Amino acid sequence: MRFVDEFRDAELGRALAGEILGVVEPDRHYKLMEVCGGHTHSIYKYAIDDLLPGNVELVHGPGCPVCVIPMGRVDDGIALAREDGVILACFGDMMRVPGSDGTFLDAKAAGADVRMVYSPLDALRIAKQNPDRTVIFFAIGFETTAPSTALTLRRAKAEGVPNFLCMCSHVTIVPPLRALLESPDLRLDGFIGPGHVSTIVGVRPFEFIPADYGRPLVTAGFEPLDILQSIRMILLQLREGRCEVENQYKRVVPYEGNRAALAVMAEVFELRPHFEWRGLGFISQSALRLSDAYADFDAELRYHVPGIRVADPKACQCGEVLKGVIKPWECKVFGTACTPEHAIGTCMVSPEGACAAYYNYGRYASEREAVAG
Amino acid sequence: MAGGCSDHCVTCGDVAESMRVLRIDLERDLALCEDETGAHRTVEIALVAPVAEGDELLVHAGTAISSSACDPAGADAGAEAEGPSRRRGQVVPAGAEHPAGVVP
Repeated sequence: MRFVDEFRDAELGRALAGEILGVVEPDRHYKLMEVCGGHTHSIYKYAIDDLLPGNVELVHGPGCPVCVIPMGRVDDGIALAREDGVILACFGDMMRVPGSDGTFLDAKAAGADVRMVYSPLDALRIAKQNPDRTVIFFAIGFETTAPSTALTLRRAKAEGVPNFLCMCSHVTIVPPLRALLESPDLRLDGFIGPGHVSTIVGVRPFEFIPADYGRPLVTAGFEPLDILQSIRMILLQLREGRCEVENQYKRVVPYEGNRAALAVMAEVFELRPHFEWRGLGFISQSALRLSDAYADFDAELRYHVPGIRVADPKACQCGEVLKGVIKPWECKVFGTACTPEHAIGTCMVSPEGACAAYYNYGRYASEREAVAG
Repeated sequence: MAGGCSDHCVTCGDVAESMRVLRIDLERDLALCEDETGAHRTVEIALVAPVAEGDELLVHAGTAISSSACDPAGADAGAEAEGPSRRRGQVVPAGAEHPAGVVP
């Protein structure tokens, strides 16, 4: 497949690994964070870390939108799903995220009408097919997904579909990155930047990272060669004493982002004053809600949502995993009480979650061996 | 693109899948698209218009966020980059010419 096969070439991958070896300084330890869960998935699927020198450590970031949804927000969604006449529509991975009293799947099993959709457009279609019911789309995701919700809301408004509502839990990527950089727990040397978020927002929003925090960021694609190349670019910056935002994923990511997407987001959404992130706590202006122009479509205005803050289970260490403070296998319940089939924490639910990526590709075993050795 | 694989989170996160445009409904800014497995889906194309039949779109949550008709590399002309990129119709992966990646 075009733009895919070329970037999975094993021979070029080995050549790049050799170049990386030539760039690193042997007496220095490098800690690089891949912001995006898609990168985490690819790194372990393709065993990319096996190609890296031992002193280059990859740390997983908070870029999986399913993983950062707090339990209280899931409870709020389930409360809406239990309202009379409501159909709650959400993405597949969201169905298994645990709240304090079960998941959307559990609510569905108990009689609530919860439906899995591939896109917000599917939820709108359900609303048109069920004019006597209210369809609430439980919207999650970073800037990659938010335009899709925004376009659907604009379509619902234009077509006059009053029974389509949205419970908006969209989040933005820059505030949590700033929170991580302010964290004393974490000393990072550079960032592998999110590829498809950048397709929407461009690379300019990340320029504060080198400017304010002195760390390089390279926006990267998701194929193995993309990730290896971006790592090499970061290491080369560090070796040459440069500190910049670079764009490895130029075949998809324009410098200024997608202006049409940014425009529709500005029309439909506004920033929330603050939003709770699992593991990261409340972060100012880090999430979106519907703007006044779309208030008629806001499920949180039409219905009462409990809005109760729920603490994560004590055994779960998703917060530390999301901040990159611990590796997934260092969590007390990883692979025992918490597995993809019976997830306690969100990081084990989504395939993009760091814990699920480790679990599915067996990385935890070799990591433990490395530590034991 | 990442996300085409079934083991990825299909609907959220930072992944997207490559799809080819089969038919276009310009009035509604929608297109019927086909993914690499042959499955068909309706896709919002408002963010990447204009598109033509046969174009490849990068689709996330039912919305095209990038099109092969766009040329981000061209738009970025002059900016720093050394990653795999299109040069004169070729995909050029890191640090080496690649004979297989010819872009029409």
